[in-house]
Amino acid sequence: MTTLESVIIWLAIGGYAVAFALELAGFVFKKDRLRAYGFGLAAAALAFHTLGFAVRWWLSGHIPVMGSYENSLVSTWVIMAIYFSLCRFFPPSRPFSVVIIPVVLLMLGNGLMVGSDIHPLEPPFRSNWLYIHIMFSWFAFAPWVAAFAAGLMYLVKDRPETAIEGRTHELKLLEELSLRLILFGFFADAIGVGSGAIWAKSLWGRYWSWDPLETWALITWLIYGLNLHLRLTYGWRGRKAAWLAVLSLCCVGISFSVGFVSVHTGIL
Amino acid sequence: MVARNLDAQTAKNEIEMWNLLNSKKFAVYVFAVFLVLLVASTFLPNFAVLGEKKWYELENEKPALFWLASHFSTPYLVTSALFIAASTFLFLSTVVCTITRISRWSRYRDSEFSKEKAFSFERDAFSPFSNEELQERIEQRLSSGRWRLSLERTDSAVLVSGQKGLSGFWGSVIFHLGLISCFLAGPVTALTNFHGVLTLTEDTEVLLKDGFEAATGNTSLLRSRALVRVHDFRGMFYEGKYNFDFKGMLTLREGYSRLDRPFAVNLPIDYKGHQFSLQQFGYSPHITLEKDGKTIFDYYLNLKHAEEGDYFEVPGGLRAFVMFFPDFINEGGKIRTKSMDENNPVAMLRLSGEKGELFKTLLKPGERKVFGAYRINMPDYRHWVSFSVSRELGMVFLVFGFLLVVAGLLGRFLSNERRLEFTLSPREKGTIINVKGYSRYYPAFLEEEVGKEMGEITTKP
Repeated sequence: MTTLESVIIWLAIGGYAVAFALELAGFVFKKDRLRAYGFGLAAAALAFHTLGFAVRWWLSGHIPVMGSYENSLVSTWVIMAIYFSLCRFFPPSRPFSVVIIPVVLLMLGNGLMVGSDIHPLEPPFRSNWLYIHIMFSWFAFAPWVAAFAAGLMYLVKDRPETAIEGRTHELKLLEELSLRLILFGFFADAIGVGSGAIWAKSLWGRYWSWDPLETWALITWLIYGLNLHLRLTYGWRGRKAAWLAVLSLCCVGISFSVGFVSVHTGIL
Repeated sequence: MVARNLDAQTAKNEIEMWNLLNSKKFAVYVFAVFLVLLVASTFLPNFAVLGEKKWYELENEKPALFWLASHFSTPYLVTSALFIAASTFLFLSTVVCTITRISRWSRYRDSEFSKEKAFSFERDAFSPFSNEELQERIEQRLSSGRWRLSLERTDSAVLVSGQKGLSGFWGSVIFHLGLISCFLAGPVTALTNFHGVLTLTEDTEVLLKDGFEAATGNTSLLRSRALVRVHDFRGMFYEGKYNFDFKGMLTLREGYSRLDRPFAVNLPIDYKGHQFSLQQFGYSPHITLEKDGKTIFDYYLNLKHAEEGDYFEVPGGLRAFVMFFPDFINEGGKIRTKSMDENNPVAMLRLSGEKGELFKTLLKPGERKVFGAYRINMPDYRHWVSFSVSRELGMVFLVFGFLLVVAGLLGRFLSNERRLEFTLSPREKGTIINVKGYSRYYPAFLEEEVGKEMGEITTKP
């Protein structure tokens, strides 16, 4: 990682960290001004994040998809971009930042710790199917993180004894928003898994080989499918639905952990 | 009488089976079991990750864990009877549920929402507009929002209703048809697939069937008389350590026909419906060994572990241990490769007999050395490449299913089945509007939407 890139990305991380502190303080102490500052700072941090993303692309000469750092850089950028889009079209989702920003910080921190050396784009990664696979996987992950935030907000709001009651938004809207986000993520992940299988076929000659990474990608998709079935067919609502949104994200966490420890074997 | 009872019993069993397959509740239970098994299987050591060497180490060092892994790790679990039974049930259940939904639709020509719509909210408002004027405004608003309109009149009121977002039903049906196609990909692949590992030494023509190291499934390639050769192979590394580019040419000859195709990682070759995908490459030093002036060994040795070394049997009860370094460096007696670039290729050979090591030497291409009765030579070196050769007819079903799944989910996501009923009752100097909203999935969003619409309808000129 070059100095320029380091400075930009640390400015983004610092911005997110302070934005999180301000939003959390505003949320807990009911100070709307702090929350507004936090939101503005998070937007500024996203601008640095975007710059960091562009600089990495320029320096490496390829879209950042190689290794943990580049993956965390792109995935967190997609999460934040989707969060801000959500806020634009559905302003009550602004408090989700209290949940989303820590996830972003953890992922960026992990990416930086694992290694941020610039690698050339390795031959297996030179496929249009890969770009579709990665892009839609992140487009699935980001709404699921937002649905996780909506689920947590619901669980917090649904406890009348908590001090921050009234700071969150209407329960029903949160629940329906979470359902829509999960449905969108399920759609995006279907494209992610399907394009991954097509990529695998051209690379390994097999579209599916049941290695842990593939299996967990399928498990994650199926769990969100089960989630939708329970909500749409069986009418699970309220706290049950919120817990579903929260717990389903654990699968995504395992899926990504598996992605970092297991590699497909047998390719150059 | 007995025959009639048996017929009745059979019919009853068939109905029960149909009901079981049609039961969404039972399907969800089976689905949950299926998922739990799949999750558990991923925590066991997996052949696909460990590779051949570590898999055999596991077998020797931890036999109990190996037994579990070789029966219940994911690649083995998915071929077990229990798993196939669960998958078959889920497949049949999806088929039956989809047939039931389509047949219900074709019988009543009405969406599921019409029967399953859920009452969400009701609100009243007063508008200064007359009944007719308001009716017109509502119809205009709903039409411009592409709501499907219907109108009913009673003695005391007018009922204007609008319904929207009914594509969700077809989205769901298309999605499930896609799943059925994806399910079918499994058995089609299992029954017709072929997988093999074809290892070829550069510039060495062999019979295609002789090049296979391992093969599962049946294919005409294993009986083919075609000759195969790899040539002009080139491997490039970035900064001498990162994989960058690997490509070459593959030539297949059979009778008078000849096929020359470039290959690379991610650029497979198709030959008679089989895909040849480049998987690995390595070095192949040409070693000749003479004893007392007689050649006893003359081979290109395809080294699978060039830097760790591979063993080869040599006639006369001898054993050769061979290493290869593309960019050789000797650092205080420690030999290794400086980079992956072929700047200074050197092979290390150690020959052992029954009584221990006979000699150990380093050889550059073209170099020859003499050790007592033995004369050793490395005239040149080449590369070897391995291809994964496969035929997976299930891929067609998978891609077709994938397209349906995506199209169906898109339809499902974009749709939002909802219905509004406006009852207009005339009053003095205006009209009372009663609005009822119905939405199965998004009642709160509908209420917000209606709040905005009502403001537009009742107040603005």
